[in-house]
Amino acid sequence: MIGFWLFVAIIGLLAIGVPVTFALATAGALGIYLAGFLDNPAIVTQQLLTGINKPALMAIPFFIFAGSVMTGTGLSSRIFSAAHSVVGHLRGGLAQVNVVSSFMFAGISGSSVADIAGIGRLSVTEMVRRGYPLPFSAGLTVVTSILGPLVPPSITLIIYAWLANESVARMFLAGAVPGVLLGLCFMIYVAYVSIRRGYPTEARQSIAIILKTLLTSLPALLVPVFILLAMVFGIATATEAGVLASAYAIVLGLFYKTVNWAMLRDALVETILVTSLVMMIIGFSQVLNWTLSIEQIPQALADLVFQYVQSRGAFMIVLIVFLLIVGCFLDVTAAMILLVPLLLPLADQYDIDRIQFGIVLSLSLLAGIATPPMGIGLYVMCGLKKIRLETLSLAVLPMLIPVVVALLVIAFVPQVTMLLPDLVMPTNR
Amino acid sequence: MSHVLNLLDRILSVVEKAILSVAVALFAFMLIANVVNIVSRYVLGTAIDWVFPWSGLIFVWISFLGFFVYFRRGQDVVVDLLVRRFNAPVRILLAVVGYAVVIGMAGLIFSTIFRIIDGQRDAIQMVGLPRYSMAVPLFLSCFFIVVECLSRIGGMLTGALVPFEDDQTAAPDDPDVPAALQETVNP
Repeated sequence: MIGFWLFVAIIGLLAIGVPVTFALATAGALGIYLAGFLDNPAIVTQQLLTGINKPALMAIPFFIFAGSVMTGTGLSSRIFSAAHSVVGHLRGGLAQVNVVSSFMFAGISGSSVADIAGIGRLSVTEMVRRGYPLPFSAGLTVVTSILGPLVPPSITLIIYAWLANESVARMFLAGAVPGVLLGLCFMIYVAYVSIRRGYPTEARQSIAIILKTLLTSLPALLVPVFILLAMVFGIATATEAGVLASAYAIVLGLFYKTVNWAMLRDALVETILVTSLVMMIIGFSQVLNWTLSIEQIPQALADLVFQYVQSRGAFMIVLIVFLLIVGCFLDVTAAMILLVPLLLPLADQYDIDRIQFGIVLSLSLLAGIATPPMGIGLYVMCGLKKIRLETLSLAVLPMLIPVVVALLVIAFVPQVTMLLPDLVMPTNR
Repeated sequence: MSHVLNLLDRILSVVEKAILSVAVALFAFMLIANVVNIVSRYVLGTAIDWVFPWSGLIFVWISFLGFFVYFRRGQDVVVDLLVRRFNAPVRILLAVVGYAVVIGMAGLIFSTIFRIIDGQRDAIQMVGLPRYSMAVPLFLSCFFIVVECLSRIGGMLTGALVPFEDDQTAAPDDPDVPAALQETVNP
């Protein structure tokens, strides 16, 4: 019953406009009160400290900084040109470019908001100029931004790896093929809609131009490969890979002659603010988790689920539906911190690999970026393009079909997720 | 009243800049130290022992220091879809309730300062500082968050501030707002 009241408290506080960190903190404190520990409020501070003092998460600020510097060096237009030269000639050319450039940018920023505000802004402007409706252009940009946290490097996957006690390198490897699969699903959807609506194609580029545009963006496109290789071959830990990516980003900026003090200062400020926000959510979620553990809510939930869900397949379906709903209401990081300890024992019981489970869980929650009321991607796009939230939400709705299709494939074909990690970094399990 | 609020806002602005500068300097130091450590390990074959524990401490410090800054800048994730549909008096009422919740929580954390200091006097390994030093920036941020909330409530009651206006959601069009500020939702 305490779990129910805590959930009601979070939703209620969010609904009246309380910031998400304080909604989680208050629910956590309420849980401590309901669990009978009112005489010791220091538990809140202690659990917050425990939640934040996590050396395993130290890679987060470095990857944020690297992404921020690389975005600041003006890579968006280079990547857009590269994607344009490769897929612009397909049906719905610029919409396809939108998908592919989001995928390419994902390997640099690892963030959906950076994707929307960076390359997404450019994509929407170009699409509208070419005659695509604004809701379609903006909606596509919002849903394709889901690719950002799925393709390595990804802060979402670092957090999951820490929660599930898994290797960050294996999680990064696991995100690659599902990322490609989701990108392909988006491209098929775009092709279908473009044929039905008669969206235009762009002129086919010569091989020389394709090679030239790819070459200019190659140093940036190599970043995820560079990070993965460093981690897979044991040259660097996740934190060191983040440090190296940061150093590489600065060197890249010097190479492109776009790095300057103002840009570096902005990147540093952004790193502090984003890191702090992510870590405070993690810290306050830890306070809430403490109560959930004390009250043995994970066990109660497991008993309840086992009573009704017998098979692994049914569990996957129930899990996806549940997470898609949760993702609509809770921020991805907070949802992950709260749910992974609850759901991981269930995944183990159904013999689902934790790596595959992590990708299914991450992608399901990430769909929330594009769904109201917590869809941050929608809010960012509304701010950027002055489009009504309702209009954008309706435009995005059918675009979630490729996400659900990709999710089902990832859930029911474990090889999609496990192929790369098992091939490159096999374990003895 | 508005004179006092303006003065308070200027003071908080100075505090915000000072805290942010410290956090930025700490992160820059952490980055440089880690780069030097990696180079030292692979080129000279010697790791610098203190880099990792100090990085851990700085990581906690920057997380806590940024807490006040992002709160003051309104960059926490706020779902205002429902609240924005109400008229100004109701929005003010809900905002006051929201700030009261924030004051309650930040105040609760701040009130535990002596218990934490008493209970965490042992030294952090390879750093030497007492363990409670990790929480000092947290208490600092909580204190200034309480002051910031009181200032905003004062601003609303004097009519100088209307909460949950359209431009208070994410405003990435503003070139001064870094791109990924709402990132939490999607790391």
